[in-house]
Amino acid sequence: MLHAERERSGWLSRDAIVAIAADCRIPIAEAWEAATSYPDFPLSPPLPETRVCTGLSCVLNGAQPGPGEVGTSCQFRCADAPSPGEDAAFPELHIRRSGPLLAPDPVDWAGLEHARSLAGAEALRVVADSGLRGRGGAYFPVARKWEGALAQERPVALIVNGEEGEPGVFKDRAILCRRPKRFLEGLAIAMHVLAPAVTVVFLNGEAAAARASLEACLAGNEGMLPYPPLVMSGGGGYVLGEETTLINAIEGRKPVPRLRPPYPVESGLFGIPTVVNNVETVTNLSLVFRGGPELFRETGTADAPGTKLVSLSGRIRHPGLYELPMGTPVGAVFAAAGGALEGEIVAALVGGPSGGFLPPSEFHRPLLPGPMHPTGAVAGSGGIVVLDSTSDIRAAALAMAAFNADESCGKCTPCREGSPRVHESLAARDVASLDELLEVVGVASLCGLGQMAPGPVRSALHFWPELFA
Amino acid sequence: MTLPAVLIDGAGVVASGSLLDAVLAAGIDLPHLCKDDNLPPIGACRTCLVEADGRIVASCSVPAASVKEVNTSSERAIRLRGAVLALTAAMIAPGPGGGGPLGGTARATIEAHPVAGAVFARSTGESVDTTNPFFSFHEEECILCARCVTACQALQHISAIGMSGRARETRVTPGAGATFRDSICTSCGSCVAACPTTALRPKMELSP
Amino acid sequence: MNRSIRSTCPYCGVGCGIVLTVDDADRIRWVDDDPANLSSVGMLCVKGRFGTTYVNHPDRLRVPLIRRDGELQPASWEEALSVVAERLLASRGFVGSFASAKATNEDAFLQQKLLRLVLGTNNIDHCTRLCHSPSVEAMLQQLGSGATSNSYIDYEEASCLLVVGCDPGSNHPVIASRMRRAIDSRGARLIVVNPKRIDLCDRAAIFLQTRPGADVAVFNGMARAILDAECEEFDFIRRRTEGYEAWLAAVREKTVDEYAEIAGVDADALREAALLYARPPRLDWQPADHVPGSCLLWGMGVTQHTNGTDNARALLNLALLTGQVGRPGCGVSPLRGQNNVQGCGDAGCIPDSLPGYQHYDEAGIGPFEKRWGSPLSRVPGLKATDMVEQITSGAIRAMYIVGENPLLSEPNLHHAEAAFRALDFLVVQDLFLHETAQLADVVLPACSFAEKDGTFTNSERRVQRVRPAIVPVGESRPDWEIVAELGRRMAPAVGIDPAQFSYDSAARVFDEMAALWPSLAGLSHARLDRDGGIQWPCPSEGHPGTRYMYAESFPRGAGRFIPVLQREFSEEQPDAEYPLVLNTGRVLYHWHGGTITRRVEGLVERVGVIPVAIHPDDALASGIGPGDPVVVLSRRGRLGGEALVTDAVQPGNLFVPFVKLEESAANFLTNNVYDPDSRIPEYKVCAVRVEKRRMEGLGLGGDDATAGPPTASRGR
Repeated sequence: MLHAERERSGWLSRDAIVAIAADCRIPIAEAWEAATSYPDFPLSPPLPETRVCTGLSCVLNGAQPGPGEVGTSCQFRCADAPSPGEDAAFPELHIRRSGPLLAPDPVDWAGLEHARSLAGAEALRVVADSGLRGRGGAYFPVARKWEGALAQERPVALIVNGEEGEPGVFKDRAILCRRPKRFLEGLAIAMHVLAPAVTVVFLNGEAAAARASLEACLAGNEGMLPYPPLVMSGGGGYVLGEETTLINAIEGRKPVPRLRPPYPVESGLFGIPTVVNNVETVTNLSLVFRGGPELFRETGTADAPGTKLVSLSGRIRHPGLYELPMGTPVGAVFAAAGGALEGEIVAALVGGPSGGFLPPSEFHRPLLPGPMHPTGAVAGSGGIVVLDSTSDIRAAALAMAAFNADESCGKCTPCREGSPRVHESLAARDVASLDELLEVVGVASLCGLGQMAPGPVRSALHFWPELFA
Repeated sequence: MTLPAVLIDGAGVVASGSLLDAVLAAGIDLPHLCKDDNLPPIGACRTCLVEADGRIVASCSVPAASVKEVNTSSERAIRLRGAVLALTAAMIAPGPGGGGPLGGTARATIEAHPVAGAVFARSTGESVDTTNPFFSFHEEECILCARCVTACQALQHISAIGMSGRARETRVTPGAGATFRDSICTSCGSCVAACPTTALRPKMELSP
Repeated sequence: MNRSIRSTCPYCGVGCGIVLTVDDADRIRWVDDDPANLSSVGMLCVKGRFGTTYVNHPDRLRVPLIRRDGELQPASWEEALSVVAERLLASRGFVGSFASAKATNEDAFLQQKLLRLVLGTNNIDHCTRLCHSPSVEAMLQQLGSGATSNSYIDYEEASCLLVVGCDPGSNHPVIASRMRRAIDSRGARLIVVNPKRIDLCDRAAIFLQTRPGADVAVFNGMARAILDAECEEFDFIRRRTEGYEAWLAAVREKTVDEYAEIAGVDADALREAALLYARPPRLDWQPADHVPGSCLLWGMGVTQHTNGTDNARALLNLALLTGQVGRPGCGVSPLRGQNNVQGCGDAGCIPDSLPGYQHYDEAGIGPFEKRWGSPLSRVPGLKATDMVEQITSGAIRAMYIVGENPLLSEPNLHHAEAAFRALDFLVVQDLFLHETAQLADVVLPACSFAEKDGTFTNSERRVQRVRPAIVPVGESRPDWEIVAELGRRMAPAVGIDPAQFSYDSAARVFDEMAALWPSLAGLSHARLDRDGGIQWPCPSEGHPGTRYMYAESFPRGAGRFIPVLQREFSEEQPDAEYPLVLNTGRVLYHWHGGTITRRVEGLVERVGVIPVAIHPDDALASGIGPGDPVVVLSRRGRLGGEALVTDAVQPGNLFVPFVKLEESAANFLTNNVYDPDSRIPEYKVCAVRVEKRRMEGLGLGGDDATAGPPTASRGR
């Protein structure tokens, strides 16, 4: 309802929110606290200006709002950098390297049919045998998560996380725009195994093109799912990538994380066992059931089989989506992508605002679950932003610090208070207080956003201390 | 039948409730700001940090039975609690004492614990709402521990106030940015009773 | 150094636990909730939390007063008690007394002992007469006990909550919070039956907005719907009830559609509500062996009518039809208003029964006569409303009124005032010199809850301790001590041993009460100090108290169906001159008539003028806008207030809280007609009209209360 109102008038006035609260029969304060927590919901009438994306990749490529223009946060069209401040469908030509996942959409439903031929427990074993891990950043083994939920012996909820709010990452939009049928097959398989009482596909509020593509695919293939999932659009916010925050958002609550335990598989959406899986993860199920677990295991590593969709952008010649086996060294990606736009590649931000910077001397590190470097870099959701000889590493580090500070949900003291001070200290070149601030933010924060926020700053300080003193 | 136990600072304690419950039951005066006897754990203040099985955790959010060995005063735990309290202290403006029954708790906690070096001050906001005849709300004292909002929403189920905004714009807000008077607040006072600072304070003396 | 004293809130029947913080200058600094209290589970409302300033208000009576030369003048206790003793004895045989539902069990027990043992009469009553007497009446007849059958925890464990004729958000706020928790967090379904929309309706699955006075039709209609759908509990009816056939015949006289028509509600909604109550859904959290239950709660909307007892009977019939008693998560709850109205009745301040609701037969009265050393009257006494009516006939010549203000709480106040003025002797014992005290011959200053020791019993039958926090204000004394003193003085004149009124402490008074009522036998101050509040029946020292009753049987054996038919909606119907129906009730910020809360500054600030709730159509027709000063008139009186234009009331109805503000009170308008069985006045319905008020004042008894615009207020 908040979206509809924003569509209608361009912004959310207080009166509108109060009216929506009355319609939904929820207290005004609850509606207000939820509505004011999403960056994409303007609370004042927008000015008639052209929007220009000022995400990291775009800024590296010269984005700068001029007169009559206003900068927006990352629009996730990083391969188009510098891009306009609006959503658009992901173009096919930005799929630079396909593997089995990004191959053209299948024409049949062989994977689903195979899954359906198996009983739930057997199908679950197939997933376990494949060794498939989640692709949303945590790499949690999928079968283990599903087993955790099914073991509760209660109705289950399935939430597909398409929030994709990390700047520099656009793989899920790509899948939904260009390979929706493969995603749909994966979703159908998941719904067959989990038999959820409720299924939600949650998309980033700005991803209008992806939503349209998904809905068209759902409409055209109605019989393939036991029932149509609820497709919901969020209101932005990096923290929505965290499972329990996403669950709160779907419930209409303020999008902040919950305490764990209880974990979502024990008690999640409206208190029922909930599985949250990323779009890419679900899409991989299609591969697992079409080719079988042994074939799936032939790519990647023994511990992390399969491929990873790497979203590559910044100062690279061929930005876009690269499907690469898990375990591929970071540097190998750059070679495939045509190298720096100007001069040399001097640094790469691996893992976005929750990851860290790496210098060329570290480009041998493989893209695998877990920390890639003790200072911060992680494979995460596969976002890599390239900096070349023209790039300002210090500015990039500051931009990541500012991003984490601005995206803090505000619930806990270390992240809410500490992250902006990290940015301020970094900007003021007050390196002495930074170590302690980074430690308290990283260790004492309630959720992953805060816990991973020190990565970009710590790694930049480590590898380029002279830039920050 | 023996009850599960957890080792806290070398002594065995019955592992019931949260780890913070067990620590307090053992008589250890571990600082904590957002824990409330009437409310479920909130986990916002991050003050109750201890070292449990080698990791630093917020003890209010961890079941006592899920942990084997706890050190409440390891060097790391003390240092990090101090750092969190420094960030918290920066949010409280120097001002009068008093307040509700727990109004001095935050200040007392900060004074009692070694706190990290000076951190520049930041206040949640500057508004002062005196529209309610029984209590007033002084934003510059608020540490955003969320006890008031949790009491209103999850204890009394009135939801007159919420936590609006995000990051540093987060504020305790009645209604849709209304005053307390204009909201559906029934003046039950659970928020005032829960507030560990003087942000929410009674306005009137009960006796002349 | 501050002290903390655990006590019980003096306001409403929820009976929240409070912790008073008192400094060393003997001042109450803060009232906190008590997380450990099982009734209030860590909550309070505005009145409990912030409303105890009346304790130290300058208006507190500090010394006894005796009327001399037409004026009340300060006197000593010796003089005052002497006059009271003498005058009451002189009127022996023609004395009536009101006990206080706000005083302790000990206060109440001694007061009825004085009346029965020394004054030889059963003319003792209390405000339940005006409130839940129909409920108690019907419950005694149909079940055998007059209290809530379940506990508050059962509201949280119910699958369905049926809330009839009451507004818990205003009058039992902490119970309302617990119900909201049940609905929001546990999935309970709420049905509200009320002529006026209440806050809880925001969470209601079904809201039946009924015609005032038509409750029998509503509940007979629900019963009929249940029968039509064959959802009655055959087994329960067969094993545990009687009178079913006769009741069945009566209910079947009309169809659901006909009942709905009379009640002014949609027939399908009525059916839906009935089936939801009869067959509440299983909720996620309920274990497999839990039988989903429905709780039935009601208030003044059911009772304060000329057909109040019939309304209560119709409700109980519904509970028996569906077997919704005797298990966790279900039950029947008349929501008791005052902090100790349950206890006051338990302690015997009722004209037709003894303490513990025991009867005047040999089995009942025998133990009392034995303990008190004297035969006692077995003639039922006059009910409170009849006492007032009988002043003019001469049957009542003297009255002893404790902690009650009939000149605010009786209907038709002009009539009531005339009656009181006709008394030979009136003694009032209270905290403030209120409207009734101002007419008294003697006024005795009593202690507030914060200054005395004793117990209150709340709506879930939980007996809880009241402990002194500060020393008595002025020369005020605890009520039980005043009554004991009177008893000692008066006893010899009627051949009673004065030692019958000698008690070392309030605890000894409680012990005597517990010895005479088996349901309290396991309780004492010492046990309550040790174990916290305990719910009766508690027959022995080791018994933990009773969470819910009727698991195996009813006190009278079988539950009884009593057929009831819908009669006239009310005695006074709207007509051309007075075309609107006035409904009365309460508002969160004021307690009843306001004697106490008008002396709390913040509460008066929130609500300083009577809000008159009027439907937009009626407002338009009378040229009234929101906030306009208005006057409401009935055949009996007038009231000034401020218009609250809202569609919470139905067209043709007005609603006002009965608090007295700025010299206006609803009871100047209400009708002194009574339910034939319980003698409760019909507060909830009378005929009125409303007009815009000119600014010059009301012309009420010479008081021009408002010279300017009314105080800005936000009545909720």
